This record gives sequence, structure tokens and C-alpha cells, in this order.
Amino acid sequence: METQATAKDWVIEGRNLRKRYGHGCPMCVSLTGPEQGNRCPVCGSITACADINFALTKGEILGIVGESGSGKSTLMQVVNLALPADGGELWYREMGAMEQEQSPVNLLALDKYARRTFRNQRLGIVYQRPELGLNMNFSVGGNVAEKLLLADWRNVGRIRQRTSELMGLTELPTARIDDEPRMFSGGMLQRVQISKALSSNPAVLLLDEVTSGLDLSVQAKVLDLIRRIQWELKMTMLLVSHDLGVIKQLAGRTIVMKSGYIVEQGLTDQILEDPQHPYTQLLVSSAL
Amino acid sequence: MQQPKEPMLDVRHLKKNFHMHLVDGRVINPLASISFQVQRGQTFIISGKSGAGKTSILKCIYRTYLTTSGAIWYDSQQFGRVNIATASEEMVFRLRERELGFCSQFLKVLPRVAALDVTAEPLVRLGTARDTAHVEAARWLKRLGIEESRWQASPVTFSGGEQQRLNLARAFIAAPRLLLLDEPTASLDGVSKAIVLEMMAEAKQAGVTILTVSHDTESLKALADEMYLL
Repeated sequence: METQATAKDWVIEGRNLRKRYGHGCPMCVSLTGPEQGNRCPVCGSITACADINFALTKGEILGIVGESGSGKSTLMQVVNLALPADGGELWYREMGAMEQEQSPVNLLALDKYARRTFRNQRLGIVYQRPELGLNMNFSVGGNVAEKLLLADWRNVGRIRQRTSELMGLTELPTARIDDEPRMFSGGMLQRVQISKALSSNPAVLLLDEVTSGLDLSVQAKVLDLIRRIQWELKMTMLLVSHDLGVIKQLAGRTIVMKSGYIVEQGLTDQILEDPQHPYTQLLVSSAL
Repeated sequence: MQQPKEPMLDVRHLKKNFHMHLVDGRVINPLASISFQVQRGQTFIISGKSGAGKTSILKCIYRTYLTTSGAIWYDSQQFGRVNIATASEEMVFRLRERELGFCSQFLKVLPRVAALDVTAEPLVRLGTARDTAHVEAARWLKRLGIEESRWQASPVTFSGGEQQRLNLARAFIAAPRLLLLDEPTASLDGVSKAIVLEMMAEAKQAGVTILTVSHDTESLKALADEMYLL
């Protein structure tokens, strides 16, 4: 009579994801934590992600907020399949045609070729530093082509056409398709990165501190672009930021991380107006 | 089996604590044990002096606040009887999108978005085409007396009263089943207030359940089916 279950149209779900830097020891789990810090006093290993659980629903933006060193970017790289996890599962569910669900796949259990194919075709990532996401020696067209070639596009004409489309979407002048990244400003480089990340029409777009370091007016334009992409493409996104202002503008739900642990998660307005954990309260009181 | 006459909203022993970790860990307890029922189609008014916890009740129902203990049973069209206090985030999202309309006391909107888009947003979220949603948004803004020349500006540039009216338009536009209104007539002049009361009366006529927090009980008296003094 009293229902709790809902339709769960999740796309990616992380279960007990763990990532440690260092060889680790049996004491790591009990001696690290949001209060104790992430460094094990016995073996010196750093626990960057400890038992992280999250689910991304189709079309939503899930925010991850936390201070530097809280494990946000490590988690991002684990989801991006660029960094092997030490434990846990990362389930992916493809929404096929007619919204028919297919059986989920644990991405971490795939072999390394299948993982790479998945990353090339179904994931897109945008970094704070453009040189991480772009090949600075290739033109814009070359950069987008690089990703599309990896996703098995072979027709040069179609690749160019796709690049122009994406430059239009991200409000870059299409005439500059053959310019190299070093000729673009910081805000434009983020648009180039976004174009590249979106080119293969990924299932999930990962955004790692994409507006940090930009001046405020440029930051606002990039945020508006991300919001428009969510609206127009119904794109599912995982957004990492240390800036609650960015999270507030974009994310529907938010995870708060500290020293590798999730200390709190909830609806973004609840996190901002009724934070439960001392660290979140500190974060909110510092931001407002 | 569900009884035919379930209340729309059944709040039982609602308790809300704020644990202020940054202020020597003290606990503030605005709501100790609140219980009330709102029947389908009823207009229910909660009044009481400032700081009595009126807004906290609404925010618990909208899940902007987490409930410390107690239950908020809501008879949902999509999910049947659900306890909002413990429902999943996903479910709360859907309830907000399709069933709950909330007008907070202060407008909190995204910066740089035109007033017309802000007003149309709840409809667009429901899948209405942008053009149709804009026509409907324009109708509400016009009715609430917001000049057309301002529609393309961000609501951040609006006066307090104008923001309040826009906020109301957003709450009403998607025709929710349960309207949660926080001081809907505060900071409005006589003319606007009359329009808002008329809107509430129309919604009531259409069968919408309304839960209002207000200390302006004088003007809401005519509409109210039940009053609750905190």
C-alpha cells in the first residue's frame, strides 16, 4: 500500500568504488575517514575514493563538490575508465531505441580493449586545463576528428560536417575550424573541449572543474552553454567542482566529498539550505 | 487496499531539528511534533508569528529540508501513498515536476535567464513545446501585471513585489495538484493581492489542494476551509 520504489532510469551506477594511491595495508580502512583524513598513518597510502556509491539518472546533472584533495577528480578518472579502481563496480545501462532497457554491464569487468572502446564511444570528458583534453598541435577540426576516428568514424566529409555542427552548438565561429588551440582564448578553449567531448554523442559527459580559472563573465557563458546542452540534448552529466555557486546553477543533485569519503548527498537545494554534515555546513557558510 | 477518502496530505508528528555544527554544536528545534491533515481540494492555512516554524513545515513537505522524525504522507497520482520525508530523491524530483507547486518567500532563480523563460520553465520540463510554454507564461505574467517590456530581463532586476508575482506564476503555471504557498500576499499592493486571491480561488475551484503559510489571515479568510495556528 505504501510504495517506495520508483522507476529507476539510471545510466551509470557506481557501487563501492575504491581507489587508493600506495600499496595499502589492513589498517587503511579503519584509520582514514572524513575526520581523520585520507592518509593512512601506518603505511602512508592515500585513500582517494572510499566506498563511493552513486547513480546517474538519464538527463540529470549530478554535482560532486569538495575541497582540493577530496578525491573528486580521482573519482572522475575512475568513471572515465582512465584509472583502474581498486574495488567496486561501475554499472552502465544502455538505453536502446524505443527506450528499451538492456541488461547492465559492469564496465570495470571489461577487458582493456572493450574499456577503451567504451571510453572512446560512450564517454566524453572536459578538463579544467585544456591541454589535458586537447592535442595542442592539432587544429579544432583535427581534435574533434581524433575523437571521432577513435569512435570508428571514417568519412572525412562527415567528420568535418560534424565538427562544424558542434562548433555552431558551442558558439564557436566555424571559420576557425583549422585554427590551432593556442590561438583561442581560455573560454573558447573550453568550448573546443566541449565540442570534442560531445562529438561521439556520449551517454555521459564528465566535466572536471571546467570553469575554474576563467574570469567571471566567461565563466557565466560556459555555464550557460552547459545548461543549454542539458536542455537541448538531454545530456547526462557528472560535474565536479569545488565551487558551490557552479553546483547550485547546474546540478539537480549533489554529492559532498571529504578526504575520499562521501559525507553527504541529496537534492542540491536541500544541501544548500539544510546541510547536515559539519563539513557541508562549513562549505555552505563559506560560499554564501 | 486504499480507502476512498485518503487525505491528500497527512503530516504526523513532524519534527525538525537544525544541528548547528558551526555554532558550538547547538540544536535548534523549530518544529517539535506537528500533526495535521489536508483533505483533497481543501484550502488549508497555517498561521502563527514569525519564527514559529511555518516556512519550515512547507520546506519539509517540498523536501528542501530533511525531516528529523515523523512522516509526511502524500497521496500521489503517480506513486500512490508516499512518505515524502523518506522518499527517494528521484521520486521527489518527479513529484516536484508533476504534482507539487511551491512558491517560496524569496525568488531563487538562475541568473541571466529571461523572466519569460523562468516562468515557462516548469511547463518546458513537463515536455511542453517552448513556444506554447511561452504563450502560457506570457498570459500569467500579463495577468499578474508584469509589464511586457520586462519579460526579456532577468528577474534579478525586478522589485520585491514583482519577483513575488513571478514566483507565484511559476508555482501556478504547471497546474499542480498540491500548491504550497509561502506568504503569497506579503509584499504585494492591494491590486496585486486581489489578483493573487482570485488565482487561488480559481485553483480551488479547479480542485487544487492549497496549503498556505501566512499571517495575513484577514484576506485569506474567505478562501480558507481550515486554519491551523502554530
